[in-house]
Amino acid sequence: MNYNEQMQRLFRSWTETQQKAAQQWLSTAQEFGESEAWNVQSWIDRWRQGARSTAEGILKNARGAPKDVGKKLLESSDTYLHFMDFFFDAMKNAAPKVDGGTAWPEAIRQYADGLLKSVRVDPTAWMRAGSVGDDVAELWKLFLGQLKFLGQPWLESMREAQGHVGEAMGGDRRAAIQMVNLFTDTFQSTVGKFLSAPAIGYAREYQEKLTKTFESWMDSRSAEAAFQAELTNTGVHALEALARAIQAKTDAGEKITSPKALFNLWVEIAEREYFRVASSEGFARLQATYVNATMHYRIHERVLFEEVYKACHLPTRTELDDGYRHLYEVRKEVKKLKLEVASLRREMAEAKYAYPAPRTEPTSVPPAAAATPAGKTSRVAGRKKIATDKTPAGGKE
Amino acid sequence: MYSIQIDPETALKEAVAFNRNLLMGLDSIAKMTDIEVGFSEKEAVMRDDDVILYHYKAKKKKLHETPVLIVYALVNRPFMVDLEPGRSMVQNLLDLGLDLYLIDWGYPDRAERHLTLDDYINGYIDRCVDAIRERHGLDKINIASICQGGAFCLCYSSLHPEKVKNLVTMVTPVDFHVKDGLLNIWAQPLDIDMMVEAFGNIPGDFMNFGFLMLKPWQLLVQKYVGIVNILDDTANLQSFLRMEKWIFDSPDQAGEAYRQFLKDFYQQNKLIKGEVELGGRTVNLKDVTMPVFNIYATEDHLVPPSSSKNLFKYVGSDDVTTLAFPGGHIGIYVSGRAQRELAPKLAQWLKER
Repeated sequence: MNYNEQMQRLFRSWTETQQKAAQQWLSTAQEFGESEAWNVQSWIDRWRQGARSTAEGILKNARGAPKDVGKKLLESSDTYLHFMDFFFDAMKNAAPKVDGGTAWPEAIRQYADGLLKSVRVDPTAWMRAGSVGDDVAELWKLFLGQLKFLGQPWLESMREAQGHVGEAMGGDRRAAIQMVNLFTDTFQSTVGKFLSAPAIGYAREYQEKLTKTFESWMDSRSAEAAFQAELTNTGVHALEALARAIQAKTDAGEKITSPKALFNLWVEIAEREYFRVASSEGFARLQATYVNATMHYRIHERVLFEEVYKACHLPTRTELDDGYRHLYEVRKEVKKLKLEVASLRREMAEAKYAYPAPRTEPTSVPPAAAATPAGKTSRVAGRKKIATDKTPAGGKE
Repeated sequence: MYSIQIDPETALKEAVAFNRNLLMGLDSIAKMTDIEVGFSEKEAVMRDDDVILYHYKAKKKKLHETPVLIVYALVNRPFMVDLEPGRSMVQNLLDLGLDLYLIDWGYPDRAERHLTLDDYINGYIDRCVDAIRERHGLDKINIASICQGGAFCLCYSSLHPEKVKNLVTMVTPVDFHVKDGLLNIWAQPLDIDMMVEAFGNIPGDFMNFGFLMLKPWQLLVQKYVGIVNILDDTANLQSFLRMEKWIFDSPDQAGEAYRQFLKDFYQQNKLIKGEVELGGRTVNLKDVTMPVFNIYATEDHLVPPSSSKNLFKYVGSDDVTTLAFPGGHIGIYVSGRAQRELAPKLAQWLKER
């Protein structure tokens, strides 16, 4: 039998054993809350039976230390169940005495003394202790019914996962994605429903942010798993291509004589196969789903962090961004105004050359003496005037 | 006979040599001081917010009257064109008598998150062009643009043709819907709005990781295995470390500018459709009427040749020169062949116009 066949047999055996164990626990769980004659004792007996048959299945072919360890685990499970027997029996015996006026510590002490005597006489008698009251049985029934609603999908998904693990180990990449989806779907149908429900209470706003953040985190992890599976698939294709390339070289009589040459060949082929897969629309969609989901989570993460910042009297990212936006708008406005002012200045300067202001003559000076010869300019402190004609202000000569 | 014929003794010798190089190379690494890029002497002639306009100091006489403004992409620092002595397009162009300016976009922080493409193109680029025109008393200048900077300058030249004498575009994406570029394919299903809302400014490290994932085996594995062979060669090692510094020194991209660039250019391919809107005006490549020199790299995995080479079909200029240069997206600037051939071709083309 070659290595591949051995591995396949091993995976098949392991898968079948896990499936049988899961089936046994599943049927035990299904019976909870359904039988009218159910009581604690029967629950304990079924649990004991389930544990024994599981252990027998697993330990059937074990030898040496694994078998010893398995037996010890089974014995400790038995001990736990015997303790459960003892506990319920104690409650059943102490309750009537407390009702009759005996102080409960005294009632418990009396029961314990009685039990100790019986243990000394017959060590196994306490293991056969009786059932609990009808009210407590009813409560247990309701509790385990709800546990079944929450727990059964998980048991079923664990059973189904065994098959996917085997398929994944056989090289089927879809199996890995299916296994991840199995658990995320189970989560959504059980605990996830509570997270999606509207929040209540004084902290409802924060709680809703928290649950939305967790949901987006779950989505991003699911998308990441799918993307990683695709990258792994690329590696598998690259290995196959490498094998074909080596075969082609063998057929052509070419030799690879150094590890470096083999490494370079691997890089060349891996890069080629990667490009082939990565340039497909499917890969782009998977990658985009991963990136988009991560961005979505990041947004929710920030919302959550901002609650903490507010509580710590720190400015939040949203507040800073708002401030930066105003700053950007103000800077843009200032630049626009500067351009307009510069443009207006240019226009004013051009206007002064084109349309100079008329010269104003002082009244005490005779007009003839104050006239400025043509071509010359007169200076006023701080300003340069363009040469004017003789016409004074008001048009008088 | 099976093709893998690795002799155990040969393999062992190779492994020993590899480890010897690695161990002795640790000494070389330990002696390395801080690595600088962008060595050519320059002065800052204008600052506009975080953007700086540099003027390179020429050591030789200027033979070309019209200055050239180099406009790089927002991704990575622009000093890849001035990596080190002996591998510097800037130095080569200066030696050929060109008068060079360069825009340094700086490192946008959260306060720059709202900068739009209009702010970059009709704002910063336009003001830099005006500053150079005023310094030289010219109506028009030459522009040499690279990668995303090329896309920006195509838009600028379309909206302000009266200010651009000649336009050079290098490894510039024009058609963003070609199928032989991974970036083009990967950009389509991304939710860009959510990304900008989550990040604000798009982190340089995030973009870097995306670029590395284009060729993960070569860029994340083979490159670092190969470094062992050059650990004992100080000059080669310094070159390698300079490239490393440049590759990973990535500024963040302003969120709004990134949003519009990814949505309008990559996802909707609006540049060649004539639908890009900047500042209320529509960019029409037919308005690019000045001479255009379009250079693309034949082995470019970031901007595939098919994305770049058909620019001549879209612009309105009747003087379009297209040059296919051997090499990759970065190799076109830093390879030995590029040092010998690219700058002279560029200078000659500008001289003729």
